[in-house]
Amino acid sequence: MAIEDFSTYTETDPNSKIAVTSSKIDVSAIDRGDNAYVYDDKGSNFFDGDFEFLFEGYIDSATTNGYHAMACALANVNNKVSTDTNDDQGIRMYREGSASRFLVQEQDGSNGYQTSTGDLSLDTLYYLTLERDEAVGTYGTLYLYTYSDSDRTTLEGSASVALHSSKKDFRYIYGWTNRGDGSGSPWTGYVQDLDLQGSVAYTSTVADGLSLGDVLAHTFDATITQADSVSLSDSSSFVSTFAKAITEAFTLSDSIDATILIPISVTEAITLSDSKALVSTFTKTISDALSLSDVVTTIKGLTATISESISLSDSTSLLVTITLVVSESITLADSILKGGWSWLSKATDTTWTYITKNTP
Amino acid sequence: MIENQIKNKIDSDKLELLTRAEEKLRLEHNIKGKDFREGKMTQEEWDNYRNNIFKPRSKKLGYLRSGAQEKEAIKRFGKDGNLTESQQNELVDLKEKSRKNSRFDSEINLNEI
Repeated sequence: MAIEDFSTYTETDPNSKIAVTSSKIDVSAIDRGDNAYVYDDKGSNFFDGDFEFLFEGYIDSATTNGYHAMACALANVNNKVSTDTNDDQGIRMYREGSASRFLVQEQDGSNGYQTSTGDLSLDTLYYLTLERDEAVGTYGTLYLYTYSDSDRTTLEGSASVALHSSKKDFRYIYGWTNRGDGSGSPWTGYVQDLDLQGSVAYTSTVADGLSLGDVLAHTFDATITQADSVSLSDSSSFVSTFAKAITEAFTLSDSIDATILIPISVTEAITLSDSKALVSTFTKTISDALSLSDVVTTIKGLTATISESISLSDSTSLLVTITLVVSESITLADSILKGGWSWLSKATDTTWTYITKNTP
Repeated sequence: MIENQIKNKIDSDKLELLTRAEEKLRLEHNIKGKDFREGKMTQEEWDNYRNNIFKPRSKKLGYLRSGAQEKEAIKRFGKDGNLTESQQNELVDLKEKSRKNSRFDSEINLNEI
């Protein structure tokens, strides 16, 4: 899992109430009128579809009533998120009486909707999961789960908001933000260890543009977990990580289309200075069927060829090489591979953005 | 189906039943979580419970409850959005009471959500 580095985020803090370290945003007695926030620009429409974020939140008893603090919030403006007219989705953290409360919030234009997980304790660190599932309801549903342990085995409360008016994509993520209106209601607490669970974007530069016949190769180490033997007679109930019946074995010559629902977690850092040839280590778990009958959507003519067979005798560090072949013209703004887990999008003639995302 | 469990109820009772069902599901989750922590449940069994049993049920209950709460807000405040802090807190207090109210327990079947 990759924890967000808050020290690379943009901080606005006119009265020096926020202390930012790489993994923590610590706020001390901030007035609700302070126009203060810590955010990162992930790029246009970076947060689309489903997502699941993990982070930790703490409300100090020095906080007074009033809900102006917001954490783990998505927006499309980079000044402050808690305005009354700009779309946002995230978590409000506030004190009410002797309780701390976490609300999942949607700001849909000029309309705001919130639901609370219920009363929790002050001066207590909670482990939170924010999840958006766009398959639930007309425009998706936003869920918040609060746990009292880091393994998330003890659930203290949950809350949900059925989203309104449209499915929305977002650009900016706020580790923490203040409302920035009114006065009083000092807020003290912190958020830390925000994990976007594999959502990583980096830009790499290629020497020239792409044309038909160009080959993009991406090689990575994959850890493949198989629970038991796999044979032709196995059914879908056999191995939980294979959702469909296996009708034929894999061989070296097998070729499948590139869209495979495989969550990929980046386990080493990727920076803007990395070249396209960067070989990163990924931890990968097969979460969908990999059978020959499973020829799924072809997108822009890209195919992925498995160049090593996968069998039970393979070690867990099996090296899988997937070669992507460009087989039709690509123009600016095309997404040449968009599946549940990754795609490449062309930003300019010589710049590509490679994005990997977990499938929750 | 949870829809059958709430279909003949007035809106406020639907919200109360759904809130209590969420609470019962939370308690079930925590029993399973305790079993996992104590080694009575394997990682695979815990993952299966959390991903394939708890989560879909929780998502369905949460979605339905969200709609029920909006109706309750309209009844109480004449609007479902842009609630004041005091209005929002009134709904949180209602949720806390409903979580602890067992009057619908006999009608809630977590296995048929």
